[in-house]
Amino acid sequence: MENLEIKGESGVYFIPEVKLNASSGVCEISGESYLEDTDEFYNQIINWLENFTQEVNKPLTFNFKLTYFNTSSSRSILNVLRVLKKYQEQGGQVTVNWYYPEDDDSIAEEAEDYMKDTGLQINMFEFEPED
Amino acid sequence: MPQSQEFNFFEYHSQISRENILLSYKGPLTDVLLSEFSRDIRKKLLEDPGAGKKVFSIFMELAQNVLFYSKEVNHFGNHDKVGTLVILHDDPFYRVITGNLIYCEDVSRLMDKFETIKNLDREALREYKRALRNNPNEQESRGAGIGLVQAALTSDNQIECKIKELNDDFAFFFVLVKITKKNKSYPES
Repeated sequence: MENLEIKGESGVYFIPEVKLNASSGVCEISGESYLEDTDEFYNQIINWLENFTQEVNKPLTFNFKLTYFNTSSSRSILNVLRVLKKYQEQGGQVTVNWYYPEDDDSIAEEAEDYMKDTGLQINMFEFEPED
Repeated sequence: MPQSQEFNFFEYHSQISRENILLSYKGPLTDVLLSEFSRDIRKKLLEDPGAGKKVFSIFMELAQNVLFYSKEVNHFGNHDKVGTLVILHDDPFYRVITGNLIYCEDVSRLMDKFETIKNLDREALREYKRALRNNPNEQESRGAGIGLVQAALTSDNQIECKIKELNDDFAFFFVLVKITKKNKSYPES
């Protein structure tokens, strides 16, 4: 199975950096998320994850390191987490790590809300963004 | 038609000087303009990162609502939506204000939404946001609700709206959000 990599970019929209690795099972999304077509963008990630759970079926770690996302992206992130929850319910080993920028309570709060919505355990870590 | 007041350029000039305007725009909105504005705001608020990030994210949500929902359309070119975007700063607040036309038939729905938001504390607002985010119907209608609730959360519920009916079809709708400054000495007036 192929990896999925999307290069992050800050132009008219803010495209997050995406690295989904099929052989290591380590996935990461970082940067900022404000997109022209939010559903289309996140469906690439959701489709990849669904293939991974069917074809590869190995332990999976998903690292979220976003420093900004709009409410439209927040809905899509919830859908990504739902796929991870489904994989866990089917016996998949899933680790979700949520890195929030230091002094940014709102991004930390989002993780708490996502835990309530999905029932997933999300590990939270503070980090210092590079910019 | 009653004669409108004569435009006083001197008064206009002294007002825009006095009010410490970080951004003021009225006209057709595009994604490209929005990204230019967002970059400009970030640059201007670098010295107050805590509040600056809030101003930025509130501005983005409200401006996207104008871009999606304004009922005023520019008939030239790409039929861009028309709206007004303003960011002011005067101690101890930044103020993000957006305005656009809406249909009169949507007035009561919007008023209800603001009434709901105003009466919720932080935890209840978070619940409300989660409920909107989980509701697939809200997604189809692209209901502006979740952006407004997020703006309320980010500003500690210092959000209000005003609506002025213009005629039988259209009303002018504006949203005003206050964000408390963290670095009070910035920006310099």
